[in-house]
Amino acid sequence: MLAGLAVLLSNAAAFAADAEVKIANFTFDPPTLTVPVGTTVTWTNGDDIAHVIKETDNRFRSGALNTGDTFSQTFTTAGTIEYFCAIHPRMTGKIVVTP
Amino acid sequence: MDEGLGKAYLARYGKGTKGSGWYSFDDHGVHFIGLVNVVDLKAGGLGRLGSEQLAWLADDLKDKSTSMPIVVFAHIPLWTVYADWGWGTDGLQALALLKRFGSVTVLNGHIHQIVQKVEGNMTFHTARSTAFPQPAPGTAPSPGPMTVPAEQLRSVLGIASVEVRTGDKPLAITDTPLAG
Repeated sequence: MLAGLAVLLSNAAAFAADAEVKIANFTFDPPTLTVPVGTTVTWTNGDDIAHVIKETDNRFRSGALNTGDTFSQTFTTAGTIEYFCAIHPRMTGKIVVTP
Repeated sequence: MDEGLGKAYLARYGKGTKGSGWYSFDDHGVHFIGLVNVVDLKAGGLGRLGSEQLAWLADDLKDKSTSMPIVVFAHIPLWTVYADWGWGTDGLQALALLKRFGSVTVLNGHIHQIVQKVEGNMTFHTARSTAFPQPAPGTAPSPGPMTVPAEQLRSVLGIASVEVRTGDKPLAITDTPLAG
């Protein structure tokens, strides 16, 4: 029973690999990221200036990310999530979560 | 940057300010107005003043004589320098409220370079930064920090100051008597 659960968990982890969005030169790279449900997305700020990740409707918001800081969010439901930088709002990005 | 939308900052530097930190005061007959256009920004958008601040501004200016010089400052340019990079403010009402005054000086930062413009009685100025230079509008894929050779760096950083300078040229209007 316990062994079976462990297998299930590790399968889920293998299926939903973690994904990354890099912040460089005031842009999100990639601007649109497609991931399966359950993926944890990590943003890393590579700029020499702070950025703040904010979901358009404020469903999540990172703190101020200084150079090298990261912010992670796990997406448990399918759909398209739009976000932007709360300090530099022309910086926009999308996470497409597939079932 | 603090997480309470500027609460800690305002407690230290913004005592007596309204809303997210706007304020005004008079000095030597000049009316100074500090606006906040960097709070509650929307995706893809420009700087934003918000209805509460605009209503305050209208009330603040209501009883001011049009001959009173006005100096306005805000972080993001109050006029649109380059919308694609968000270099402007969603606040045309603010400029409309200032239009009736005889002398309006608008000082902004944000774009880390000097851009000036005169429109009617309004003069707009942006300033350099002491942190890093940014590219001229549209000359790079994004407005991110511009890397320049180390020996050039100090020529693209700078501060803005205001001082009285006596001109060395006579005024264009001269009055001459008919005789004598």
